[in-house]
Amino acid sequence: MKPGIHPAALAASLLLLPLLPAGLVAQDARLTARLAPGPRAAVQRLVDSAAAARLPTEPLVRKALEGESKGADSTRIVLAVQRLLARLGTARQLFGPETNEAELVAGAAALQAGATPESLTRLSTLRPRERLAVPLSVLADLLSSGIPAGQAWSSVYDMASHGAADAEFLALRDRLTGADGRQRGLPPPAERPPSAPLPGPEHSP
Amino acid sequence: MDEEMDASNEPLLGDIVGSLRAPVSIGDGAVERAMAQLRREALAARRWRQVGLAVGIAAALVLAFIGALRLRHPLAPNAGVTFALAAPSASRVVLIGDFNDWNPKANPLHRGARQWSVTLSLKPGRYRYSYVVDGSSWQADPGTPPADDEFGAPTSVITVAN
Repeated sequence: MKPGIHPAALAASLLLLPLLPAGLVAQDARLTARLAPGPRAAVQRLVDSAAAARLPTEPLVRKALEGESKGADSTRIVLAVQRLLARLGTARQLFGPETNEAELVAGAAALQAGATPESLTRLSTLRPRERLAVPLSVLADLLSSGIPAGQAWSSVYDMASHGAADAEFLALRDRLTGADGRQRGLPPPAERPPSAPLPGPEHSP
Repeated sequence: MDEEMDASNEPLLGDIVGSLRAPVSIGDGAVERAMAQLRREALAARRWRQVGLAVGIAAALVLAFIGALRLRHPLAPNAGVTFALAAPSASRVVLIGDFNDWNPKANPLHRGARQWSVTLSLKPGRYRYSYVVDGSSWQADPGTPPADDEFGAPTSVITVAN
């Protein structure tokens, strides 16, 4: 009999492999291909830290790739990844260990846009955890679009307290920011049929 | 007393032993019939085992399918999000963002009558992206909210819901 790995051991390894933190499995090939050795090592350490803390690593890799594609210098790239890791960690603390990646990413975006941790905690108590990503994302969008924080927060909070659906949050965001509704499945404006003109006053002065 | 009873039972025991030792006569073909019956029972048992195995495999497949659906649902791709930019004088427009690892070769836009566009199937989530016009000019999407950007390039964000 040839020496080799026992089939049961191989099967167990394959089953357990996805459970290992990504950073412990291998260096991310995308980072290897696109970052210089210095920033690559720094980003990889941050990615490994995230994996060890059971935080999502993919947003960190994407942030580094974004910086590289935009021609940012190494310091800015590493700093941006470091800050994102901190925000993801804060979101995890606020929402709990069962929070999924989409919610953590949206929560981190809301924090970056200026939402307070207290507001995120209040929001999380209003909706089941699996439905938190879109309200958080919309809150981040409103704040990033320059909507005053008080108005942005009260709009999202009111909808959340009434059990609004995700589509309603997106419609709210479109209404307040002037977005074109593409994210709700509508075609781009140029491909829509022309809308009827709004009715004007019967007797204009 | 016991010895007297044993002695009186001796003829009866002898008869019983004799009848048990007597050869049993069986009819013609009895062995063949018995063997045929055994074969039928073995065949029936094998068929039941096969039916049970088939039912088990079918149940496992159904459970696996249901499990896969439940796992897939939260990450099911969106029907399609169209990214479009009006850039009449551009010779090339590409879409670059979280969904393609910020790779400028991944998603070029196609020139249409009124605008450049491309449609992608995206999983639910929040994605940052930009357009790059003619290889160097970064542009945000005028139809979606702006994103906070640490790197100084115009960036937009799109949220894809379930």
